[in-house]
Amino acid sequence: MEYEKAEDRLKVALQRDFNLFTAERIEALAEDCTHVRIDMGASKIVDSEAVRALYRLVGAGKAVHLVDPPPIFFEVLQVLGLDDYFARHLTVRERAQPEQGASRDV
Amino acid sequence: MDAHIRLKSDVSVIGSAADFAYKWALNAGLDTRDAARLSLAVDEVVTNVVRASGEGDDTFEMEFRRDVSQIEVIVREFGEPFDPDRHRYDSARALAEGRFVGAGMHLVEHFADEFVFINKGHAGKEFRIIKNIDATRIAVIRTQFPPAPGQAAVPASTLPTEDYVFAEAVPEDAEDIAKLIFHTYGYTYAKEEVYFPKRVEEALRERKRLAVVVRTPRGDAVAYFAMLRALDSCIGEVGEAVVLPAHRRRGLMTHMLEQLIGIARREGMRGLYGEAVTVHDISQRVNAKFGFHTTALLLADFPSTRYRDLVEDFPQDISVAIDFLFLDPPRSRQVYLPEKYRRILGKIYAQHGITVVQATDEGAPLPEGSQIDVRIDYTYRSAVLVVSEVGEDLSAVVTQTVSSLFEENVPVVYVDLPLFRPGAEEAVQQLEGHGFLLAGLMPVFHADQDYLRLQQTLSPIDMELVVAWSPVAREIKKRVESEMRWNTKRQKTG
Repeated sequence: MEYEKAEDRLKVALQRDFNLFTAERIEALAEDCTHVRIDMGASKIVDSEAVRALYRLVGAGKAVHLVDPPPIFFEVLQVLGLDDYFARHLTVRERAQPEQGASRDV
Repeated sequence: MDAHIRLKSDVSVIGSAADFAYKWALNAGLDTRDAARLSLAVDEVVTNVVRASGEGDDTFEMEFRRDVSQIEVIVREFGEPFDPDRHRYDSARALAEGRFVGAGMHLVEHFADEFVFINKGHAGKEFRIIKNIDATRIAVIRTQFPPAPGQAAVPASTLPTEDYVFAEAVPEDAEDIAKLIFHTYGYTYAKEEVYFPKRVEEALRERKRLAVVVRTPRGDAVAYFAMLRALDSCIGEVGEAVVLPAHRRRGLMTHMLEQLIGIARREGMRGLYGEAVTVHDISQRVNAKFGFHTTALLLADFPSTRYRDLVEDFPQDISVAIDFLFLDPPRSRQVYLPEKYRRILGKIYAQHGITVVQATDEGAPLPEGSQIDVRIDYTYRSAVLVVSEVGEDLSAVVTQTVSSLFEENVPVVYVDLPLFRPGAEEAVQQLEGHGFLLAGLMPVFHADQDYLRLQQTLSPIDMELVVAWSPVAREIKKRVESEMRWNTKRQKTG
Protein backbone atom coordinates (compact mmCIF):
# COMPACT_ATOMS: atom_id res chain seq x y z
CA MET A 1 0.00 0.00 0.00
CA GLU A 2 1.37 3.39 -0.99
CA TYR A 3 0.27 6.52 0.78
CA GLU A 4 0.91 10.23 1.04
CA LYS A 5 0.00 12.30 4.02
CA ALA A 6 -0.04 16.08 3.80
CA GLU A 7 -1.47 18.05 6.71
CA ASP A 8 -4.98 16.69 7.22
CA ARG A 9 -5.18 14.86 3.88
CA LEU A 10 -4.41 11.20 3.33
CA LYS A 11 -3.99 9.71 -0.13
CA VAL A 12 -3.78 5.92 -0.33
CA ALA A 13 -3.15 3.75 -3.37
CA LEU A 14 -3.98 0.12 -2.61
CA GLN A 15 -1.72 -2.46 -4.23
CA ARG A 16 -4.02 -5.33 -3.28
CA ASP A 17 -7.51 -6.15 -2.08
CA PHE A 18 -9.28 -3.92 0.40
CA ASN A 19 -9.67 -6.27 3.37
CA LEU A 20 -9.14 -6.42 7.14
CA PHE A 21 -5.37 -6.06 6.78
CA THR A 22 -5.51 -2.93 4.62
CA ALA A 23 -8.57 -1.53 6.42
CA GLU A 24 -6.76 -1.56 9.76
CA ARG A 25 -3.78 0.26 8.29
CA ILE A 26 -5.91 2.90 6.55
CA GLU A 27 -7.92 3.57 9.70
CA ALA A 28 -4.73 4.01 11.69
CA LEU A 29 -3.22 6.37 9.11
CA ALA A 30 -6.42 8.40 8.78
CA GLU A 31 -6.88 9.01 12.47
CA ASP A 32 -5.81 12.66 12.38
CA CYS A 33 -7.03 13.44 8.85
CA THR A 34 -10.19 15.09 7.61
CA HIS A 35 -9.90 14.02 3.96
CA VAL A 36 -9.19 10.46 2.80
CA ARG A 37 -8.73 9.47 -0.81
CA ILE A 38 -8.41 5.75 -1.56
CA ASP A 39 -7.37 4.53 -4.99
CA MET A 40 -8.76 1.00 -5.33
CA GLY A 41 -7.69 0.43 -8.92
CA ALA A 42 -5.56 -2.61 -7.98
CA SER A 43 -8.23 -4.24 -5.80
CA LYS A 44 -10.26 -7.16 -7.10
CA ILE A 45 -12.46 -7.29 -4.03
CA VAL A 46 -13.65 -5.09 -1.20
CA ASP A 47 -14.89 -7.06 1.78
CA SER A 48 -17.16 -6.36 4.75
CA GLU A 49 -14.22 -5.28 6.92
CA ALA A 50 -13.37 -2.62 4.35
CA VAL A 51 -16.99 -1.47 4.28
CA ARG A 52 -17.01 -1.32 8.06
CA ALA A 53 -13.83 0.79 7.97
CA LEU A 54 -15.37 3.16 5.40
CA TYR A 55 -18.45 3.46 7.60
CA ARG A 56 -16.28 4.40 10.58
CA LEU A 57 -14.27 6.94 8.58
CA VAL A 58 -17.45 8.57 7.32
CA GLY A 59 -19.02 8.36 10.78
CA ALA A 60 -15.99 10.18 12.20
CA GLY A 61 -16.80 13.09 9.91
CA LYS A 62 -14.04 12.55 7.38
CA ALA A 63 -14.59 13.31 3.70
CA VAL A 64 -13.97 9.99 1.94
CA HIS A 65 -13.28 9.80 -1.76
CA LEU A 66 -12.87 6.49 -3.60
CA VAL A 67 -11.14 6.11 -6.93
CA ASP A 68 -11.81 3.23 -9.30
CA PRO A 69 -13.43 0.69 -6.98
CA PRO A 70 -13.95 -2.79 -8.46
CA PRO A 71 -17.47 -3.64 -9.68
CA ILE A 72 -18.04 -6.02 -6.77
CA PHE A 73 -17.85 -3.08 -4.34
CA PHE A 74 -21.24 -1.76 -5.46
CA GLU A 75 -22.77 -5.21 -5.21
CA VAL A 76 -21.37 -5.62 -1.69
CA LEU A 77 -22.99 -2.35 -0.63
CA GLN A 78 -26.28 -3.40 -2.15
CA VAL A 79 -26.26 -6.83 -0.49
CA LEU A 80 -25.50 -5.21 2.87
CA GLY A 81 -28.27 -2.65 2.37
CA LEU A 82 -25.79 0.23 2.65
CA ASP A 83 -25.91 1.54 -0.92
CA ASP A 84 -28.15 4.52 -0.16
CA TYR A 85 -26.13 5.48 2.88
CA PHE A 86 -22.80 5.46 1.07
CA ALA A 87 -24.29 7.21 -1.96
CA ARG A 88 -24.95 10.12 0.38
CA HIS A 89 -21.77 9.99 2.41
CA LEU A 90 -18.84 9.36 0.13
CA THR A 91 -17.81 10.23 -3.39
CA VAL A 92 -16.61 7.83 -6.04
CA ARG A 93 -14.72 8.33 -9.24
CA GLU A 94 -14.59 5.41 -11.57
CA ARG A 95 -11.73 5.08 -14.00
CA ALA A 96 -11.91 7.68 -16.76
CA GLN A 97 -15.19 9.01 -15.45
CA PRO A 98 -16.13 12.27 -13.77
CA GLU A 99 -16.65 12.34 -10.04
CA GLN A 100 -20.06 11.23 -8.78
CA GLY A 101 -21.85 9.80 -5.72
CA ALA A 102 -21.39 6.18 -4.73
CA SER A 103 -24.78 5.48 -6.21
CA ARG A 104 -23.50 4.53 -9.69
CA ASP A 105 -25.92 1.67 -10.22
CA VAL A 106 -26.45 0.74 -6.61
CA MET B 1 -5.75 -31.13 -9.62
CA ASP B 2 -6.90 -30.42 -6.10
CA ALA B 3 -4.86 -28.31 -3.70
CA HIS B 4 -4.39 -28.39 0.02
CA ILE B 5 -2.72 -25.61 1.98
CA ARG B 6 -2.16 -24.83 5.62
CA LEU B 7 -1.91 -21.22 6.72
CA LYS B 8 -1.16 -19.39 9.92
CA SER B 9 -4.23 -17.80 11.48
CA ASP B 10 -3.01 -14.29 10.96
CA VAL B 11 -4.53 -11.23 9.36
CA SER B 12 -1.64 -11.06 6.88
CA VAL B 13 -2.69 -14.28 5.11
CA ILE B 14 -6.21 -13.15 4.21
CA GLY B 15 -5.11 -11.52 0.96
CA SER B 16 -2.98 -14.47 -0.11
CA ALA B 17 -5.82 -16.93 0.52
CA ALA B 18 -8.25 -14.79 -1.47
CA ASP B 19 -5.70 -14.34 -4.28
CA PHE B 20 -5.11 -18.08 -4.52
CA ALA B 21 -8.86 -18.69 -4.65
CA TYR B 22 -9.19 -16.13 -7.45
CA LYS B 23 -6.47 -17.70 -9.60
CA TRP B 24 -7.71 -21.19 -8.85
CA ALA B 25 -11.20 -20.21 -9.93
CA LEU B 26 -9.98 -18.66 -13.19
CA ASN B 27 -8.01 -21.79 -14.01
CA ALA B 28 -11.05 -23.92 -13.26
CA GLY B 29 -13.11 -22.02 -15.79
CA LEU B 30 -14.89 -19.24 -13.88
CA ASP B 31 -14.96 -15.80 -15.51
CA THR B 32 -13.34 -12.84 -13.73
CA ARG B 33 -16.65 -11.72 -12.18
CA ASP B 34 -17.44 -15.09 -10.61
CA ALA B 35 -13.80 -15.62 -9.66
CA ALA B 36 -13.96 -12.33 -7.73
CA ARG B 37 -17.19 -13.47 -6.07
CA LEU B 38 -15.56 -16.72 -4.95
CA SER B 39 -12.48 -14.83 -3.84
CA LEU B 40 -14.63 -12.49 -1.73
CA ALA B 41 -16.45 -15.41 -0.12
CA VAL B 42 -13.10 -17.02 0.74
CA ASP B 43 -11.80 -13.69 2.09
CA GLU B 44 -14.81 -13.40 4.41
CA VAL B 45 -14.53 -16.95 5.72
CA VAL B 46 -10.77 -16.66 6.29
CA THR B 47 -11.29 -13.31 8.03
CA ASN B 48 -13.80 -14.98 10.31
CA VAL B 49 -11.35 -17.82 11.06
CA VAL B 50 -8.47 -15.43 11.74
CA ARG B 51 -10.61 -13.30 14.04
CA ALA B 52 -11.78 -16.38 15.97
CA SER B 53 -8.32 -17.86 16.43
CA GLY B 54 -6.42 -17.53 19.66
CA GLU B 55 -3.01 -16.02 20.18
CA GLY B 56 0.01 -17.99 19.13
CA ASP B 57 0.62 -20.49 16.38
CA ASP B 58 -2.91 -21.42 15.37
CA THR B 59 -3.26 -22.61 11.82
CA PHE B 60 -6.12 -23.49 9.52
CA GLU B 61 -6.41 -25.59 6.39
CA MET B 62 -7.81 -24.82 2.99
CA GLU B 63 -8.70 -27.44 0.45
CA PHE B 64 -9.57 -26.60 -3.14
CA ARG B 65 -11.50 -29.19 -5.11
CA ARG B 66 -12.96 -29.03 -8.57
CA ASP B 67 -14.75 -31.15 -11.10
CA VAL B 68 -16.18 -30.29 -14.48
CA SER B 69 -19.20 -28.52 -13.06
CA GLN B 70 -18.21 -26.91 -9.78
CA ILE B 71 -15.50 -25.61 -7.49
CA GLU B 72 -15.50 -26.35 -3.78
CA VAL B 73 -13.32 -24.52 -1.29
CA ILE B 74 -13.20 -26.02 2.20
CA VAL B 75 -11.80 -24.05 5.12
CA ARG B 76 -11.11 -26.17 8.22
CA GLU B 77 -10.24 -24.73 11.56
CA PHE B 78 -10.18 -25.39 15.29
CA GLY B 79 -10.89 -21.90 16.63
CA GLU B 80 -13.46 -20.93 19.22
CA PRO B 81 -17.00 -22.34 18.88
CA PHE B 82 -19.05 -20.53 16.27
CA ASP B 83 -22.64 -20.71 15.09
CA PRO B 84 -23.35 -18.57 11.99
CA ASP B 85 -27.09 -18.70 12.70
CA ARG B 86 -26.60 -16.78 15.92
CA HIS B 87 -24.82 -13.96 14.10
CA ARG B 88 -27.32 -12.79 11.51
CA TYR B 89 -26.56 -9.53 9.77
CA ASP B 90 -29.00 -6.67 10.26
CA SER B 91 -28.46 -3.62 8.03
CA ALA B 92 -30.59 -1.37 10.26
CA ARG B 93 -28.40 -2.24 13.24
CA ALA B 94 -25.26 -1.71 11.15
CA LEU B 95 -26.40 1.78 10.20
CA ALA B 96 -27.73 2.76 13.60
CA GLU B 97 -25.03 1.27 15.81
CA GLY B 98 -22.14 0.58 13.46
CA ARG B 99 -22.38 -3.11 14.39
CA PHE B 100 -21.59 -5.23 11.35
CA VAL B 101 -21.94 -8.59 13.10
CA GLY B 102 -22.73 -11.31 10.53
CA ALA B 103 -21.99 -9.07 7.53
CA GLY B 104 -19.22 -11.38 6.30
CA MET B 105 -21.33 -14.54 6.41
CA HIS B 106 -24.20 -12.61 4.82
CA LEU B 107 -21.92 -11.81 1.87
CA VAL B 108 -20.69 -15.39 1.65
CA GLU B 109 -24.26 -16.66 1.40
CA HIS B 110 -24.91 -14.17 -1.38
CA PHE B 111 -21.75 -14.68 -3.42
CA ALA B 112 -21.46 -18.47 -3.13
CA ASP B 113 -23.80 -20.77 -5.03
CA GLU B 114 -23.83 -22.98 -1.95
CA PHE B 115 -22.49 -22.34 1.51
CA VAL B 116 -22.41 -25.07 4.14
CA PHE B 117 -21.13 -24.82 7.69
CA ILE B 118 -20.30 -28.10 9.39
CA ASN B 119 -19.61 -28.22 13.10
CA LYS B 120 -17.67 -31.41 13.87
CA GLY B 121 -17.50 -30.75 17.58
CA HIS B 122 -14.03 -30.97 19.01
CA ALA B 123 -12.79 -32.18 15.61
CA GLY B 124 -13.22 -28.62 14.39
CA LYS B 125 -15.39 -26.77 11.94
CA GLU B 126 -15.65 -26.63 8.19
CA PHE B 127 -16.86 -23.82 5.97
CA ARG B 128 -17.64 -25.00 2.44
CA ILE B 129 -18.02 -22.57 -0.43
CA ILE B 130 -19.25 -23.81 -3.78
CA LYS B 131 -19.34 -22.02 -7.12
CA ASN B 132 -20.85 -23.61 -10.18
CA ILE B 133 -18.90 -23.41 -13.40
CA ASP B 134 -21.15 -21.94 -16.02
CA ALA B 135 -21.42 -23.54 -19.42
CA THR B 136 -23.70 -23.37 -22.40
CA ARG B 137 -26.62 -25.72 -22.10
CA ILE B 138 -27.55 -27.89 -24.99
CA ALA B 139 -30.86 -26.08 -25.62
CA VAL B 140 -29.19 -23.17 -27.36
CA ILE B 141 -27.28 -25.30 -29.84
CA ARG B 142 -29.68 -28.07 -30.69
CA THR B 143 -29.94 -28.91 -34.38
CA GLN B 144 -30.30 -31.87 -36.72
CA PHE B 145 -31.73 -34.32 -34.22
CA PRO B 146 -35.09 -36.05 -34.03
CA PRO B 147 -37.86 -34.50 -31.91
CA ALA B 148 -37.59 -34.35 -28.15
CA PRO B 149 -39.70 -36.74 -26.05
CA GLY B 150 -43.39 -36.08 -26.30
CA GLN B 151 -43.16 -34.76 -29.81
CA ALA B 152 -43.96 -36.68 -33.00
CA ALA B 153 -42.96 -40.35 -32.98
CA VAL B 154 -40.00 -41.42 -35.09
CA PRO B 155 -40.29 -44.57 -37.23
CA ALA B 156 -38.03 -47.42 -36.15
CA SER B 157 -34.75 -47.69 -38.01
CA THR B 158 -34.38 -50.66 -40.37
CA LEU B 159 -30.59 -50.63 -40.12
CA PRO B 160 -29.16 -54.11 -39.33
CA THR B 161 -27.34 -54.19 -35.97
CA GLU B 162 -24.04 -55.15 -37.57
CA ASP B 163 -24.04 -51.96 -39.64
CA TYR B 164 -23.83 -49.68 -36.60
CA VAL B 165 -20.39 -48.30 -35.85
CA PHE B 166 -19.24 -48.58 -32.20
CA ALA B 167 -16.33 -46.42 -31.08
CA GLU B 168 -14.81 -45.17 -27.87
CA ALA B 169 -15.96 -41.57 -27.33
CA VAL B 170 -13.51 -38.74 -27.97
CA PRO B 171 -13.84 -35.08 -26.84
CA GLU B 172 -15.21 -34.12 -30.27
CA ASP B 173 -18.27 -36.31 -29.55
CA ALA B 174 -19.33 -34.11 -26.63
CA GLU B 175 -21.98 -32.06 -28.40
CA ASP B 176 -23.56 -35.12 -30.01
CA ILE B 177 -23.65 -36.81 -26.60
CA ALA B 178 -25.41 -33.84 -24.97
CA LYS B 179 -27.93 -33.78 -27.81
CA LEU B 180 -28.53 -37.52 -27.51
CA ILE B 181 -29.37 -37.12 -23.84
CA PHE B 182 -31.69 -34.20 -24.60
CA HIS B 183 -33.51 -36.00 -27.39
CA THR B 184 -33.99 -39.06 -25.24
CA TYR B 185 -34.84 -37.56 -21.86
CA GLY B 186 -35.66 -33.91 -22.54
CA TYR B 187 -34.47 -32.06 -19.46
CA THR B 188 -35.40 -34.82 -17.04
CA TYR B 189 -32.06 -36.65 -16.93
CA ALA B 190 -30.80 -36.75 -13.35
CA LYS B 191 -27.13 -35.92 -14.05
CA GLU B 192 -27.36 -32.33 -15.14
CA GLU B 193 -23.79 -31.92 -16.35
CA VAL B 194 -24.57 -33.99 -19.46
CA TYR B 195 -26.52 -31.03 -20.84
CA PHE B 196 -23.33 -28.99 -20.98
CA PRO B 197 -21.18 -30.04 -23.97
CA LYS B 198 -18.14 -28.21 -22.62
CA ARG B 199 -18.26 -30.20 -19.40
CA VAL B 200 -18.72 -33.48 -21.27
CA GLU B 201 -15.82 -32.57 -23.56
CA GLU B 202 -13.55 -31.77 -20.64
CA ALA B 203 -14.47 -34.98 -18.81
CA LEU B 204 -13.71 -37.03 -21.93
CA ARG B 205 -10.44 -35.19 -22.49
CA GLU B 206 -9.32 -35.71 -18.90
CA ARG B 207 -10.54 -39.32 -19.15
CA LYS B 208 -12.75 -38.85 -16.11
CA ARG B 209 -15.54 -40.14 -18.31
CA LEU B 210 -14.94 -43.16 -20.57
CA ALA B 211 -17.67 -43.84 -23.07
CA VAL B 212 -18.84 -45.61 -26.19
CA VAL B 213 -20.77 -43.83 -28.94
CA VAL B 214 -22.75 -45.63 -31.61
CA ARG B 215 -23.23 -44.09 -35.03
CA THR B 216 -25.03 -45.04 -38.19
CA PRO B 217 -22.89 -45.57 -41.29
CA ARG B 218 -23.79 -41.96 -42.21
CA GLY B 219 -22.18 -40.79 -38.98
CA ASP B 220 -25.30 -39.86 -37.00
CA ALA B 221 -24.88 -40.52 -33.28
CA VAL B 222 -27.73 -42.71 -32.04
CA ALA B 223 -26.55 -44.19 -28.73
CA TYR B 224 -24.12 -43.51 -25.91
CA PHE B 225 -23.02 -45.34 -22.78
CA ALA B 226 -20.50 -43.97 -20.28
CA MET B 227 -18.73 -44.81 -17.09
CA LEU B 228 -17.47 -42.18 -14.72
CA ARG B 229 -14.18 -42.81 -13.01
CA ALA B 230 -14.25 -42.62 -9.23
CA LEU B 231 -12.10 -39.78 -7.95
CA ASP B 232 -10.30 -41.73 -5.27
CA SER B 233 -10.32 -45.35 -6.34
CA CYS B 234 -9.69 -47.50 -9.37
CA ILE B 235 -13.34 -48.16 -10.18
CA GLY B 236 -15.95 -46.58 -12.40
CA GLU B 237 -19.66 -45.89 -12.24
CA VAL B 238 -21.61 -47.14 -15.20
CA GLY B 239 -23.89 -44.20 -15.24
CA GLU B 240 -25.12 -42.67 -18.45
CA ALA B 241 -26.88 -44.65 -21.14
CA VAL B 242 -29.10 -43.53 -24.00
CA VAL B 243 -30.38 -45.04 -27.22
CA LEU B 244 -32.55 -42.94 -29.51
CA PRO B 245 -36.05 -44.45 -29.67
CA ALA B 246 -35.80 -45.36 -33.37
CA HIS B 247 -32.73 -47.49 -32.70
CA ARG B 248 -33.87 -49.48 -29.68
CA ARG B 249 -34.46 -53.25 -29.40
CA ARG B 250 -31.45 -54.21 -31.46
CA GLY B 251 -28.95 -54.89 -28.74
CA LEU B 252 -27.01 -51.62 -28.89
CA MET B 253 -27.04 -51.26 -25.10
CA THR B 254 -25.64 -54.75 -24.61
CA HIS B 255 -22.85 -54.19 -27.13
CA MET B 256 -21.97 -50.83 -25.58
CA LEU B 257 -21.77 -52.29 -22.06
CA GLU B 258 -19.55 -55.11 -23.31
CA GLN B 259 -17.26 -52.53 -24.87
CA LEU B 260 -17.24 -50.44 -21.71
CA ILE B 261 -16.22 -53.45 -19.65
CA GLY B 262 -13.42 -54.05 -22.16
CA ILE B 263 -12.29 -50.42 -21.85
CA ALA B 264 -12.34 -50.68 -18.04
CA ARG B 265 -10.15 -53.80 -18.16
CA ARG B 266 -7.75 -52.13 -20.58
CA GLU B 267 -7.51 -49.14 -18.22
CA GLY B 268 -6.59 -51.47 -15.37
CA MET B 269 -9.72 -50.71 -13.39
CA ARG B 270 -10.66 -53.09 -10.60
CA GLY B 271 -14.41 -52.88 -10.82
CA LEU B 272 -17.51 -51.18 -12.14
CA TYR B 273 -20.71 -50.33 -10.36
CA GLY B 274 -24.11 -49.03 -11.22
CA GLU B 275 -26.76 -47.32 -9.12
CA ALA B 276 -29.92 -49.22 -10.02
CA VAL B 277 -33.12 -47.44 -9.05
CA THR B 278 -35.35 -49.59 -6.86
CA VAL B 279 -38.71 -48.29 -8.09
CA HIS B 280 -38.69 -51.41 -10.25
CA ASP B 281 -36.35 -54.38 -10.73
CA ILE B 282 -35.48 -53.82 -14.38
CA SER B 283 -32.11 -52.16 -13.88
CA GLN B 284 -31.04 -54.70 -11.25
CA ARG B 285 -31.97 -57.58 -13.58
CA VAL B 286 -30.10 -56.06 -16.53
CA ASN B 287 -27.02 -55.49 -14.34
CA ALA B 288 -27.16 -59.08 -13.12
CA LYS B 289 -26.99 -60.34 -16.71
CA PHE B 290 -23.56 -58.78 -16.95
CA GLY B 291 -22.30 -60.23 -13.70
CA PHE B 292 -23.07 -57.30 -11.40
CA HIS B 293 -24.28 -58.17 -7.89
CA THR B 294 -26.08 -55.97 -5.40
CA THR B 295 -23.82 -55.03 -2.50
CA ALA B 296 -25.79 -52.21 -0.83
CA LEU B 297 -29.14 -50.45 -0.68
CA LEU B 298 -28.95 -46.65 -0.40
CA LEU B 299 -32.16 -45.15 0.93
CA ALA B 300 -33.49 -41.86 -0.45
CA ASP B 301 -30.34 -41.48 -2.53
CA PHE B 302 -31.84 -38.75 -4.68
CA PRO B 303 -35.06 -36.72 -4.69
CA SER B 304 -38.07 -38.08 -6.58
CA THR B 305 -38.31 -34.74 -8.39
CA ARG B 306 -35.12 -35.78 -10.20
CA TYR B 307 -36.93 -38.81 -11.52
CA ARG B 308 -39.99 -37.18 -13.01
CA ASP B 309 -41.38 -38.40 -16.34
CA LEU B 310 -39.90 -41.85 -15.82
CA VAL B 311 -42.12 -42.78 -12.92
CA GLU B 312 -45.03 -40.43 -12.41
CA ASP B 313 -45.42 -38.96 -8.94
CA PHE B 314 -43.32 -41.49 -7.12
CA PRO B 315 -44.30 -40.87 -3.51
CA GLN B 316 -40.84 -40.92 -1.91
CA ASP B 317 -37.22 -40.16 -2.64
CA ILE B 318 -35.51 -42.71 -4.83
CA SER B 319 -33.51 -45.48 -3.21
CA VAL B 320 -30.90 -47.28 -5.25
CA ALA B 321 -29.11 -50.61 -5.23
CA ILE B 322 -25.35 -50.55 -5.64
CA ASP B 323 -24.63 -53.26 -8.22
CA PHE B 324 -20.93 -54.09 -8.41
CA LEU B 325 -18.85 -56.03 -10.91
CA PHE B 326 -15.35 -57.13 -9.94
CA LEU B 327 -13.32 -57.15 -13.15
CA ASP B 328 -10.81 -59.56 -11.68
CA PRO B 329 -12.29 -60.80 -8.41
CA PRO B 330 -9.83 -62.00 -5.78
CA ARG B 331 -10.42 -65.51 -4.49
CA SER B 332 -10.38 -64.32 -0.93
CA ARG B 333 -10.42 -61.10 0.98
CA GLN B 334 -8.85 -60.49 4.38
CA VAL B 335 -11.06 -57.95 6.09
CA TYR B 336 -12.08 -56.80 9.57
CA LEU B 337 -15.80 -57.49 9.49
CA PRO B 338 -17.73 -56.30 12.54
CA GLU B 339 -19.58 -59.06 14.35
CA LYS B 340 -22.96 -57.42 13.84
CA TYR B 341 -22.73 -57.56 10.03
CA ARG B 342 -20.33 -60.47 9.55
CA ARG B 343 -22.92 -62.87 8.18
CA ILE B 344 -24.54 -60.60 5.65
CA LEU B 345 -21.25 -59.11 4.46
CA GLY B 346 -19.96 -62.64 3.96
CA LYS B 347 -22.95 -63.36 1.72
CA ILE B 348 -22.37 -60.18 -0.26
CA TYR B 349 -18.75 -61.17 -0.90
CA ALA B 350 -19.78 -64.75 -1.73
CA GLN B 351 -21.94 -63.52 -4.65
CA HIS B 352 -18.69 -62.46 -6.32
CA GLY B 353 -17.02 -65.80 -5.55
CA ILE B 354 -14.89 -64.19 -2.84
CA THR B 355 -14.18 -66.02 0.38
CA VAL B 356 -13.83 -63.84 3.43
CA VAL B 357 -10.86 -64.31 5.71
CA GLN B 358 -11.67 -62.62 9.00
CA ALA B 359 -8.67 -60.56 10.03
CA THR B 360 -7.96 -60.44 13.72
CA ASP B 361 -7.51 -57.23 15.56
CA GLU B 362 -4.38 -57.33 17.74
CA GLY B 363 -6.25 -55.36 20.34
CA ALA B 364 -4.24 -52.23 19.77
CA PRO B 365 -5.94 -49.18 21.28
CA LEU B 366 -7.70 -46.80 18.92
CA PRO B 367 -6.05 -43.46 18.23
CA GLU B 368 -7.63 -40.51 19.99
CA GLY B 369 -8.82 -38.77 16.84
CA SER B 370 -10.62 -40.18 13.82
CA GLN B 371 -9.74 -39.28 10.24
CA ILE B 372 -12.92 -38.36 8.39
CA ASP B 373 -13.39 -36.72 5.01
CA VAL B 374 -16.85 -35.23 4.41
CA ARG B 375 -17.96 -35.30 0.77
CA ILE B 376 -21.16 -33.49 -0.11
CA ASP B 377 -23.22 -33.95 -3.24
CA TYR B 378 -24.77 -30.49 -3.52
CA THR B 379 -27.08 -31.52 -6.36
CA TYR B 380 -28.74 -34.43 -4.61
CA ARG B 381 -28.23 -33.06 -1.09
CA SER B 382 -26.47 -36.10 0.30
CA ALA B 383 -23.11 -36.58 1.98
CA VAL B 384 -20.63 -39.37 2.53
CA LEU B 385 -18.38 -39.38 5.60
CA VAL B 386 -15.38 -41.40 4.52
CA VAL B 387 -13.64 -42.68 7.64
CA SER B 388 -10.04 -43.55 6.87
CA GLU B 389 -9.17 -44.12 10.52
CA VAL B 390 -11.46 -44.97 13.42
CA GLY B 391 -10.60 -43.14 16.61
CA GLU B 392 -11.98 -42.92 20.12
CA ASP B 393 -13.95 -39.85 19.12
CA LEU B 394 -15.73 -41.40 16.13
CA SER B 395 -19.30 -41.37 17.38
CA ALA B 396 -18.97 -37.85 18.81
CA VAL B 397 -17.57 -36.44 15.57
CA VAL B 398 -19.92 -38.39 13.30
CA THR B 399 -23.10 -37.55 15.22
CA GLN B 400 -22.13 -33.88 15.48
CA THR B 401 -21.32 -33.74 11.75
CA VAL B 402 -24.54 -35.51 10.78
CA SER B 403 -26.55 -33.13 12.93
CA SER B 404 -24.79 -30.19 11.30
CA LEU B 405 -25.45 -31.57 7.80
CA PHE B 406 -29.14 -32.11 8.59
CA GLU B 407 -29.35 -28.49 9.72
CA GLU B 408 -27.76 -27.46 6.43
CA ASN B 409 -30.50 -29.24 4.49
CA VAL B 410 -28.39 -32.25 3.60
CA PRO B 411 -30.90 -34.92 4.69
CA VAL B 412 -29.10 -38.08 3.55
CA VAL B 413 -25.79 -39.05 5.14
CA TYR B 414 -23.71 -42.17 4.60
CA VAL B 415 -20.79 -43.25 6.75
CA ASP B 416 -18.14 -45.43 5.09
CA LEU B 417 -16.08 -47.48 7.55
CA PRO B 418 -12.83 -49.13 6.45
CA LEU B 419 -12.80 -52.91 6.46
CA PHE B 420 -9.15 -53.27 5.53
CA ARG B 421 -7.82 -52.09 8.87
CA PRO B 422 -8.89 -52.60 12.48
CA GLY B 423 -11.59 -50.36 13.88
CA ALA B 424 -14.84 -51.31 12.11
CA GLU B 425 -15.96 -53.38 15.12
CA GLU B 426 -15.44 -50.46 17.51
CA ALA B 427 -16.98 -48.04 15.01
CA VAL B 428 -20.18 -50.07 14.71
CA GLN B 429 -20.38 -50.35 18.50
CA GLN B 430 -19.82 -46.61 18.92
CA LEU B 431 -22.50 -45.73 16.36
CA GLU B 432 -25.03 -48.20 17.81
CA GLY B 433 -28.06 -46.33 19.06
CA HIS B 434 -27.40 -43.19 17.01
CA GLY B 435 -29.98 -43.97 14.35
CA PHE B 436 -27.78 -45.51 11.67
CA LEU B 437 -28.93 -48.33 9.42
CA LEU B 438 -26.96 -50.80 7.36
CA ALA B 439 -26.50 -49.81 3.71
CA GLY B 440 -24.12 -52.60 2.74
CA LEU B 441 -20.70 -53.20 1.26
CA MET B 442 -18.98 -50.61 -0.92
CA PRO B 443 -16.27 -52.67 -2.62
CA VAL B 444 -13.04 -50.94 -3.66
CA PHE B 445 -14.82 -47.63 -3.11
CA HIS B 446 -12.06 -45.50 -1.61
CA ALA B 447 -8.31 -45.82 -1.98
CA ASP B 448 -8.85 -49.19 -3.70
CA GLN B 449 -10.22 -50.69 -0.47
CA ASP B 450 -13.53 -52.10 0.76
CA TYR B 451 -15.81 -50.15 3.08
CA LEU B 452 -18.89 -50.92 5.15
CA ARG B 453 -21.53 -48.27 4.54
CA LEU B 454 -24.05 -47.18 7.18
CA GLN B 455 -26.76 -44.64 6.43
CA GLN B 456 -29.12 -42.20 8.02
CA THR B 457 -31.83 -40.17 6.33
CA LEU B 458 -34.49 -37.68 7.35
CA SER B 459 -36.66 -38.69 4.38
CA PRO B 460 -39.55 -40.96 5.28
CA ILE B 461 -39.13 -44.28 3.51
CA ASP B 462 -41.78 -46.91 2.92
CA MET B 463 -39.72 -50.05 2.38
CA GLU B 464 -42.65 -51.67 0.60
CA LEU B 465 -41.81 -49.36 -2.31
CA VAL B 466 -38.15 -50.37 -2.40
CA VAL B 467 -37.81 -53.21 -4.89
CA ALA B 468 -34.87 -55.54 -4.27
CA TRP B 469 -34.40 -58.19 -6.92
CA SER B 470 -31.66 -60.66 -6.08
CA PRO B 471 -31.77 -62.91 -2.99
CA VAL B 472 -28.90 -61.00 -1.36
CA ALA B 473 -30.50 -57.64 -2.19
CA ARG B 474 -33.69 -58.86 -0.54
CA GLU B 475 -31.70 -59.95 2.49
CA ILE B 476 -30.07 -56.53 2.77
CA LYS B 477 -33.51 -54.97 2.51
CA LYS B 478 -34.85 -57.25 5.25
CA ARG B 479 -31.96 -56.29 7.49
CA VAL B 480 -32.55 -52.59 6.86
CA GLU B 481 -36.25 -52.98 7.66
CA SER B 482 -35.43 -54.77 10.87
CA GLU B 483 -32.99 -52.01 11.92
CA MET B 484 -35.59 -49.37 11.06
CA ARG B 485 -38.11 -51.06 13.35
CA TRP B 486 -35.51 -51.34 16.09
CA ASN B 487 -34.61 -47.65 15.79
CA THR B 488 -38.28 -46.65 15.91
CA LYS B 489 -38.83 -48.77 19.00
CA ARG B 490 -35.74 -47.30 20.62
CA GLN B 491 -36.92 -43.74 19.88
CA LYS B 492 -40.36 -44.47 21.36
CA THR B 493 -38.92 -45.94 24.52
CA GLY B 494 -36.47 -43.06 24.80
